[in-house]
Amino acid sequence: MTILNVDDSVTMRKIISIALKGKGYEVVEAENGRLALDMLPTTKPAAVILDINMPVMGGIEFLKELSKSPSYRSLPVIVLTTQGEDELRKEAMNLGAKAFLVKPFQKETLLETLQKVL
Amino acid sequence: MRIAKSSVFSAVIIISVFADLALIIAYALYPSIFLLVPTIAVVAVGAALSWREGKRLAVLAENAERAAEEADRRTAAAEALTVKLESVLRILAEQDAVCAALTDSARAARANLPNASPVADFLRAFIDTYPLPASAEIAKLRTIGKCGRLAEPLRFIEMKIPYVRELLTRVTAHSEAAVLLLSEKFTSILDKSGDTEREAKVALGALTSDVASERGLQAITRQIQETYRDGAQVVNEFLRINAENESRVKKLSTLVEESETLLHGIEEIAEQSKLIAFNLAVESAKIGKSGLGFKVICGELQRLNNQTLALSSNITTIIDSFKKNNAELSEQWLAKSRRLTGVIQGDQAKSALLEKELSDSQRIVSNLVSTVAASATSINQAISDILESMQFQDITRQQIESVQSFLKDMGNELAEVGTSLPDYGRSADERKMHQAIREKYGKQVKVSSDQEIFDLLPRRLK
Repeated sequence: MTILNVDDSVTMRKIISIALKGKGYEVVEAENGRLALDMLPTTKPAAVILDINMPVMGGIEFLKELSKSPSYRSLPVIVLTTQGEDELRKEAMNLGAKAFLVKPFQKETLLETLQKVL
Repeated sequence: MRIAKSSVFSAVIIISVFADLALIIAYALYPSIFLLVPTIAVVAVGAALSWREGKRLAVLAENAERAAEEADRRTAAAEALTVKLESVLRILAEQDAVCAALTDSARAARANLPNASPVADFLRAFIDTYPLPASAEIAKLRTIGKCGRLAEPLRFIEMKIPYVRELLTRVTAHSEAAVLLLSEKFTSILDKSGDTEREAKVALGALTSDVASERGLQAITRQIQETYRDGAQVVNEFLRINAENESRVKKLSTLVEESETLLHGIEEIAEQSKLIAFNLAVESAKIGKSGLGFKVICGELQRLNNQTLALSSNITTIIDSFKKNNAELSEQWLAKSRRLTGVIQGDQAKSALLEKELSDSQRIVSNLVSTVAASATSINQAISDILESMQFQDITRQQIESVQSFLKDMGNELAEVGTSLPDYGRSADERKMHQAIREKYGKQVKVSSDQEIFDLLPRRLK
């Protein structure tokens, strides 16, 4: 099962990949929302783990674009960000995110959440 | 106080006219024709003089007005500068606190770095180059006062900001590289530890398999133990049979001896029968014809005795031979049997020891493999925790980016404040300041030329 990991930080992408690969998931990475959108048709991920603050296209904008697409509207998205404000959480959930986690995350929490949304 | 030029001019004219009128009225009241013309002349001159004075005063008033406006403007600028300076000082103090906190965090992290590690050495060297010098400049600014000699220290601080921003960029880049290197190393260890954990668990499963399973070491050990016990039973049975045979051999020897004794008895009887037959023959001869039957019987008896003796002699010969062979055989057999018994009993003792050692080894190996499996699990968990904690590099990166943005805004504000000062950026020591900053902070930022720093400066200062 393939998971798309979207984060502008190389370190975070590495840590998330290690956590997911340890449980048998295949992981593909993108460093911003624009690249992630371009990769969707070829990678066909089962879920997306999405950061918010990214250059070129941030997480909120990615969610907006995703919600406009009939093909990917129902793709499960887990937001994983350092900003834990309620307004941002509500905005993300209203745009279709299935879960909202705050960094630093626990590996077990991420894996359980991923399992729930899949 | 602002005085309108026209008002001054008008006042002078009015005063002059009133003065002239007053003279004229006074003259009218005290008519004296011979005083009229000079009076009029005086009035005219006075008016002319008043007019000129009025103009001069008007010019002076205009200048005063301009000066007052300029003073007002400068006062307002000074007040605005004061307000901005206060905000700059506040921002500098906040920046200083943030940078001090970053320095403290970095130095605390340095204390926890392992000793023998190239990556840790690199991080230690990097942390030792942390700069963060804003406090001295802030103290200087506070002592200078709200106006006056601000241009130079403000300019000095503004020139340092690009260095600090560049250094923060390199902090992020270097820490990210270090974290990636560490994560790769830990990932490699995690993979190997995972393999060890899996293999240990497989081995542990093999060791602790059910008795019915042929693959379990416990089952194999039990089979070996049973085999040894069966073997021991066989050996014991052998020893028991051997001991029985030994007693049978002895009994056989006894029987042979008894047979010899019987034979001796038979020989004695045969000898006695021979004697009886002889006596009977003698008696039959004495009897005559009537004793012929006896003679036959005696003959038969004698023949029987002879046969018996011959047979007895043969049996004796056989027995002797048997006895000799038996003695040799039993002696050899007993010797071999005793040697074999000794060997078997020695082997039994060794087997018992081997069985015990095998059982102990199986227990030790099981415990060892359990410990290895548990250790591998603990290592995996610890490494996973370490990798998770590396998230803080990303969190710190975002905070540093906020500080950089903050410094950029501060640089712009300083530039804005500075340009309102007349001598900002035009100090004779501008080049010296630049050089001093480069010497002090250039190594930490690793900037090799003035051009690089020039490129870092905000555009408006170039």
